[in-house]
Amino acid sequence: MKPILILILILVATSGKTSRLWAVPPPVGGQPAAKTHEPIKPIPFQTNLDSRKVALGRMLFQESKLSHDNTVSCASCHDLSQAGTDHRVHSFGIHQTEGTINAPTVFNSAGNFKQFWDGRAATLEEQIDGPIQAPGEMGSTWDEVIGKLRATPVYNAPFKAIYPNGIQRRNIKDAIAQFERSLITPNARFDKFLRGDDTALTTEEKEGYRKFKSYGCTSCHQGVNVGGNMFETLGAMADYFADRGGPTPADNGRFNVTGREDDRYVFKVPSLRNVARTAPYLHDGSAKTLEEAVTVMGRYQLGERLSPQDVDQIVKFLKTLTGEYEGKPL
Amino acid sequence: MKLSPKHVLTGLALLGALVIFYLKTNHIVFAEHKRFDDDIHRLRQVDASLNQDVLKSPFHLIEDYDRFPEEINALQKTTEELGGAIPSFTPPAGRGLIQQKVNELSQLLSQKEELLERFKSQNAVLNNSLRYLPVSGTELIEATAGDDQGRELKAILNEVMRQVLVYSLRTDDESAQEIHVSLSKLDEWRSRHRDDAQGAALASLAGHVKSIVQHKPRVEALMEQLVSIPVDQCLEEMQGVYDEQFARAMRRADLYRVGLYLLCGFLVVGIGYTIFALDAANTHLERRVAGRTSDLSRKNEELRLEIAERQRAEKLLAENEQRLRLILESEPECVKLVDADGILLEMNPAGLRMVEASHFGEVLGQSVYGIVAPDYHPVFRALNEAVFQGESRIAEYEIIGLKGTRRWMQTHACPLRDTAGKIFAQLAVTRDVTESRRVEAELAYERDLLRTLLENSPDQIYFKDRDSRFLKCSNALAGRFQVTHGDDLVGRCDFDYFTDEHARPAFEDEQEIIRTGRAMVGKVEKEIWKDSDGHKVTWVLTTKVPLQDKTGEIIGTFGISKDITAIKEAENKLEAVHKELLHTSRQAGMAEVATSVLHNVGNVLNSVNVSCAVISEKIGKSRIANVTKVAELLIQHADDVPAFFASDPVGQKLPHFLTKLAQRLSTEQAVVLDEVRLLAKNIEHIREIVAMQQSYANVAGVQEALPVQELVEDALHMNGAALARHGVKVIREYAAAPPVSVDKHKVLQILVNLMRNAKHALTDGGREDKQILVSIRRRDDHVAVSISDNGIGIAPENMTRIFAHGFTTKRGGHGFGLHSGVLAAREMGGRLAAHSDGPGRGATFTLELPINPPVTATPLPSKNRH
Repeated sequence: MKPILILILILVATSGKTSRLWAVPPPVGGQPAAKTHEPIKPIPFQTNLDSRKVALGRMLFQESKLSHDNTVSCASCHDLSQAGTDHRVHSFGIHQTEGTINAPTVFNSAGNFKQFWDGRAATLEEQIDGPIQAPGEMGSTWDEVIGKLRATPVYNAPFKAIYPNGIQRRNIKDAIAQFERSLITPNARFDKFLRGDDTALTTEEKEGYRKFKSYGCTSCHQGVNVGGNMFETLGAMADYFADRGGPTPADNGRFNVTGREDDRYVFKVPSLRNVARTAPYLHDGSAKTLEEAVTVMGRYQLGERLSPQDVDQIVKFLKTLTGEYEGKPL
Repeated sequence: MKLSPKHVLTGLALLGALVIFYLKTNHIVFAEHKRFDDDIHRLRQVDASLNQDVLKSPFHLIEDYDRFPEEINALQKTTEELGGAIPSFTPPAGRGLIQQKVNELSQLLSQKEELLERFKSQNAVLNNSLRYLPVSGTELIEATAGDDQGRELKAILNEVMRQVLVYSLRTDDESAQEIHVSLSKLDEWRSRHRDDAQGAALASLAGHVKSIVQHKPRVEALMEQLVSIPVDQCLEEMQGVYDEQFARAMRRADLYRVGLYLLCGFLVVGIGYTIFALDAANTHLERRVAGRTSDLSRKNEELRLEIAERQRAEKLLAENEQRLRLILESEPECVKLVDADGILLEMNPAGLRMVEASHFGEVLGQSVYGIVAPDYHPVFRALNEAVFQGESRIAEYEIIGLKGTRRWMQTHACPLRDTAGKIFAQLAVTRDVTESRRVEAELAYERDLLRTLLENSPDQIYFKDRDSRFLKCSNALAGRFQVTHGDDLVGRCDFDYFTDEHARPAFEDEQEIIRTGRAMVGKVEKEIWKDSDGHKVTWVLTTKVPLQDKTGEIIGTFGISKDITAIKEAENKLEAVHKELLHTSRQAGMAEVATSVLHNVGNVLNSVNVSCAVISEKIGKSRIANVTKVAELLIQHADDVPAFFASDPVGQKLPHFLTKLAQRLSTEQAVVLDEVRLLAKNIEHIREIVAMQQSYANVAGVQEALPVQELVEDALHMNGAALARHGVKVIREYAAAPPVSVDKHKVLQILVNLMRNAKHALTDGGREDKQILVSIRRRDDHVAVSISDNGIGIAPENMTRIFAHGFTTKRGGHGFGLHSGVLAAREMGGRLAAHSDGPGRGATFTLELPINPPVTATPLPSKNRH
């Protein structure tokens, strides 16, 4: 009788724990009317994922054997404790090779319609091929990765348990992608506001949001991810690259994928979720602060020199987009 | 009756056939069929909602783009799955056809994705400017000083904002031109006032205005291209190809099923027969043993008597034999002599050939039972016994030649008596009837097949004579005509059941088939039933082919019709829901437009208020009172006016004062007049905004019966100002015409566009007596609206190209108006035609609108166009 009782207690305890992890309950206190006609939508609380794959993916995400010389893991550049980025202008791969474009955060990347700044990968699974094989990032090959993982005893059992054919390229990618899909940050203050809690934002922040909309920022930064669902030219109203100088091949953006002249300087509009925690900004990492980034956007996408007050208020609003991961603020 | 290997083999073969038939019957996997069919339907739904979302976005009914990637991903993923989910029962040829369609679809989808991305980017830039323009405009107006210069700037800014609003509603070159004029006014104002901060703000505003002018047509064109990609058409075709493959597979399975039933029946009969035959064989054997024993003793007795007799008869016999041999030799049919036990006594060469013997020695003295197929031993035995009892008989049986060939024989047998009149042999003349039996059996089999098909096929199958009267029909067709059996319809025709509307074309189709010998495949026919007052309407998919006799002469037609009424109704419902959705989204969009229009009316009203204040202030402070003072002075000195002017110090200054006053007053008047003019202009703006709002707010809608005159007048009204400005005379020739059932929005769009084209043709033509003739005429089942101008005309080589997408002769034109006009007209069941006698000789565009719209308007790939 006693063992069964203990077992039930454990079950109750663990199930309670998982529900806290994956299903953060909505804020209590009445049923406030949600704002449905806003261009920005809240991040849903729940994900419907296989927790075994997520756990395996988490291990692989931290696994430096994915790189040729066992020094770099996914987490090296996408540090989960640093809001899924490394705060560098360019990240460093194996042999201290410097990258060519700013590494975006891995949080909420599942909500982006395509991956990479130039959108060359359609899915998270496809994206993984990039860094693993890029000589300046992890510099490995799939044969090498599979060989190393098969020689690491800790992986055999979990792979076998989930995938009948064990450690395969497809399965490694699947597990990592599933883990990445679990990296969502719901319950930002702004989401509470969207769900009807008017006290979640200060007057200044609400004013910042009003300006964010009326200055046209929501033309691109909209949807659940506040961006990440379309391409746009950097420098729609003024020539950003002429003013910045020092052109690099990465500056060509989507042109590098399609070869169409129209796509030169076109980039995926980045998500602004958790933007306060993911400096530096822009594909070239040239904006060190949010204020700088907002000013640059005003200058080149709106053709306007925004007043310090405007910038301040919009930045205040952007800071409300920081959400929670595993119940803790990012 | 022994179980020979032949029996075993036959049994096995039958069993094998049974299994194969059973498997063939079951080879259609309905789960696969359903999945494939569902996938196609889902694709069509997602594509329709994607198109709707695209059309909604300019009205800000969609504020975010999240659903676009979802939809396009769903489309691409499902298409990819579709390629791997082609049902296994599809024959390789059909599989290839479907795969081809799938490839075509995935190409269309990548095109669509690329356009969608461009649309999203361009639309975002446009929205960015559209959103920001009122903000920066209002800020600038608020920050502008209240002096004369400031007022001028405010007026220009208000003007620009109004024009941009108009442009965003009615994107055309003329509005764009007006905006450019206002922008150059703004530039000019800027060059006069060097204020850096304000200058930069104005430059930014001008930048946004230019961006709107540049991006709006691009976005519209992209939107148009996006919804015109024939994804739906491709899916529809794919569905068609697949349906045909599915129907073919179903028919094949049905055939195998019939085969299966026949085979089962055959097996049952075979088993029954075998049991019976075993029993009969036993009884016969016993009887024969007894018969033999008595025969033997009798024969011994007879033998003795016969020896004497024989010698006497021998001579005669030899003669007979001689004669007989002659006959035997020359007879083309088998002639043989067989004794009572079936031992072959004699056989002519023709017979030897039939039994595949090379010479007589091979068969002499052998039992014919070795040649007669075992199944037919009883037949032959009965024949032989009858003959030996003195009867002549005819029998048919099968033989197996010495080399194994089976043949059917028909034997005419009679007893052959010796000189004593005793029957000693069976004389048989035998013919090979294998061929005629085979033909007969085949005919019977085919008759059975046909009957089974006609009785059981769910499709309506019918054979008609040259006068289109039924010769033979399936029971399914009989059921439709409420009679029990297909034979009850013989002699009837379509005219007995349907109204002329269906029966006539069907009759003509059949006559055409008889005349040309060409089949009519897969025609969708609408049937209106005669006794239902036109209420009962059904739809069938019909294939008809010529019916030929043996000589290849066409003696009528043969057809299969499938009832597709349910499918047709479902299609119509879908179409209706689709239209309803479009309508709702358009109305919702209009509400939004109304809000922004009212906002702008408010802006203009501000200027009106300012003007009123200026006028009342000017008039309040007017120097007009001074005139009264001068008059009073003159009245005081009325008795001596000349002296007053000459000597009085006041009088001396008076002329100079009067001159100054006059100058002052005329300046005042000019200012007030200017202000009043501005006021009038602003009021005119409001009127225009409101008028336009009215014309746009209610035009969206479903098809309704509308008087043509009113539509034409509305269109003239919308172009009225432009026509008047260019001095175009409008002549109206309206004949009485019934209301037409059309979508008002579309008709107005076409007419306004035609009138604008006419106006351009006139201004480009440069003649003095510019004139547009608008006429309404009724022709049979439609109303024709013609718009004729006496402008530059159309060169003959351009006549065929003017309706093509992207063709334009206008500077800055998009070549889209006429193209979309043609499509819209066709969608309403009407048509748009052009006529011109050549360059410089004017042009006439005629829009034909149906009085009663067709039940199925020609479906267009771009039917989602708003």
